[in-house]
Amino acid sequence: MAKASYTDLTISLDKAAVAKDISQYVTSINGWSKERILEEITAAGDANDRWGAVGILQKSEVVLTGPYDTTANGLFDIASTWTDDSEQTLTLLFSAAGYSQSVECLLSKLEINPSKGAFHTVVVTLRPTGAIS
Amino acid sequence: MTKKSSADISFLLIGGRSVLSSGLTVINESRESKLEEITALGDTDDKWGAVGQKTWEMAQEGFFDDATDKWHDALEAADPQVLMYAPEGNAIGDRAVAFSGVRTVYNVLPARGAFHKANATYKADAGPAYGQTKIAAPLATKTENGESTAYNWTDPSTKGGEVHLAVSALTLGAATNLTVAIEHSIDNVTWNTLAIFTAVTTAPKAERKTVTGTIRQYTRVSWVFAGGVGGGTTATFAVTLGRN
Repeated sequence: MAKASYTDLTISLDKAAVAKDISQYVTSINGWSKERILEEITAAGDANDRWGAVGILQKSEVVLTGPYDTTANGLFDIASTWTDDSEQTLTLLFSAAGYSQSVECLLSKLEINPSKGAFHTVVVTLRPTGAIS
Repeated sequence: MTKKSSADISFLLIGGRSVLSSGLTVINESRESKLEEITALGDTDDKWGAVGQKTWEMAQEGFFDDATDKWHDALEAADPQVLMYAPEGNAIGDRAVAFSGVRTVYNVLPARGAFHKANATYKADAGPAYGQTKIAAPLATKTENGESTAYNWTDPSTKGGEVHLAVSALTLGAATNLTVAIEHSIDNVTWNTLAIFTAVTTAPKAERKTVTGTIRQYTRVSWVFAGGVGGGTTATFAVTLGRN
């Protein structure tokens, strides 16, 4: 098996349409969740439930967490200066073998959480729009 | 890397009241864009669009403190309050959060064997600027007229912005008021007024003003004690400048 772990992951997010490697600023990411929308088509006379694929793939929000770090082109820098409603590309390179996928995203939410005795944390929620390819 | 921690938070001013020392333990600031699914007939993947509306919220947790002009007084105020908060430090150019906030939730939470806690949530009735908001004048005590060191924004902006002043302590002495202004310049040599705050005669006091059009590359803060200083003149204040 060709397993891959967090050490193999590279996370890239566009800043003003230019890709920036933000891997070192991200401590957690929930990754992709792609759900094929199904609808039940169990009909009269069926002894078992049956389902059909509607033909739409729905993605969940991508949530990235990291320390509040003011370094240029880091997670916080990109999110805090992403003040328009533009779409930016998120790319995940899952393994050294080069399995990579990208999706256009809108910035849904930026949270900054200072707490006593801790580094400030940043939570960036991205809404994928369109296909992951 | 330049991480920031709880030790870097340098002030939280609510309506000019300096409440950081009241025992604030947690802050959460949240900016959210309103999105709506726009997947249409024929699409094979879900698509989303930004409506163009943003929401802002700030929540705080800390210890209950009913000393004059501290946490409880600030949170009991019914009117919108100017809220200024510095998560990175107290230097010119450090990021700041500044807006006019309406306090929505205020919970006072007593429990056996523990100090009372106080939690609150604010929503903005004006601001914050969604560009960059910086400290233009750090929270500090002044005893003479003067101006701050200039801040270089690297380039000018044309979308206007907003400025906030919070005066946490004021003894006029021989002066009749304190007037604070923000100036801007294209060359760090010739300065013009960008905004002037209402003259302050008592503290705590805070004000928010909007500015339109161009904000030049260099900005600084100037202050004047009208009538001159003497007899114990002193003022403690901070100023932020946000660009849209």
